[in-house]
Amino acid sequence: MIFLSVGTQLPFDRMVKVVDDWCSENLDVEVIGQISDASYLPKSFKYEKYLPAAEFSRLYGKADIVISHAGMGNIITALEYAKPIIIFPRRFEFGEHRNDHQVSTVNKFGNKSNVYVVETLGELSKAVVDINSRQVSASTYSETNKELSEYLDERIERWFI
Amino acid sequence: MNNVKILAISSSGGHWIQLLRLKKFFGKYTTSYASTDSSLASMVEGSFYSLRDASMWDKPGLLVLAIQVAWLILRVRPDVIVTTGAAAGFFAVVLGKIFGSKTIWIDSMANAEEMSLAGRKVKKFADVWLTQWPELARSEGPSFKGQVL
Repeated sequence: MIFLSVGTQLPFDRMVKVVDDWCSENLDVEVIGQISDASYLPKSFKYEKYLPAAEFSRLYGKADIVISHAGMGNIITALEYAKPIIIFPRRFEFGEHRNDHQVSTVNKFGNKSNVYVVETLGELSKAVVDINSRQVSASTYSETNKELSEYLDERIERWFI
Repeated sequence: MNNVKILAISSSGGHWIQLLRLKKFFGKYTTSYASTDSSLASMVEGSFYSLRDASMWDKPGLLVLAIQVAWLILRVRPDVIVTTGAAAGFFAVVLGKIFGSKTIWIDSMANAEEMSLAGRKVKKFADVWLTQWPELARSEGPSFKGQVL
């Protein structure tokens, strides 16, 4: 199953449309989407506008692949679950976000092993083929998370102990 | 050590996912959580407070959120407030500082090229003011001390 998510804040019709086009050519693949207040409604896959956290986590956990806007929440969750994720950056020029920070996000995360950056139908098809032919690496907490937690512990110790 | 009271607070979505990456750290203290989607309670153990959602561009919503956050801080009386943003975290740091808590702002990883708007505005009120990208660290702040990854 493929789980699509546009994130909590804004619709993302451009991405939903590309995935819908892909689905119309791959009807044997089950896709479930969380699409927010979209004006483009998918014809070839099931969707909800909003999903409560428990249902969102259940679908996310069950999915073989996640397709998402380039939001940090879904990217980090993918790294956490060791799940392949395909990300589309929202672009300011199309009114998809308030600025182009998602373009920087794909530049920062596009080189990670389970993360695929796409914007077109061709790129999406290629990413799905690539993912299906690969082993997925295990999830981790990085050294940099440990550093941050230790720093915060130190601060609290200095303040209160 | 674990009777230090922490309020871990953020908007829903990516801010919240980043906040929960510090769960192990929060687990060492007496931590209450707050966010802007009541269904997120299912993701944490212990007390969870639900807040109204508001973006930085929704003025009446921001006012309601600010009042809710003020009330929450007065009720919980946290020693430390930790947030990854955005609007909910902004108010928590500003009001928390005024009410006497220590305040920690961790700017979202989504801001890889400059600090977020809320992040820039919150500087004066944050005892600890962090970016998650080393390139953005400056001697006058923000500092870089690691990432939630």
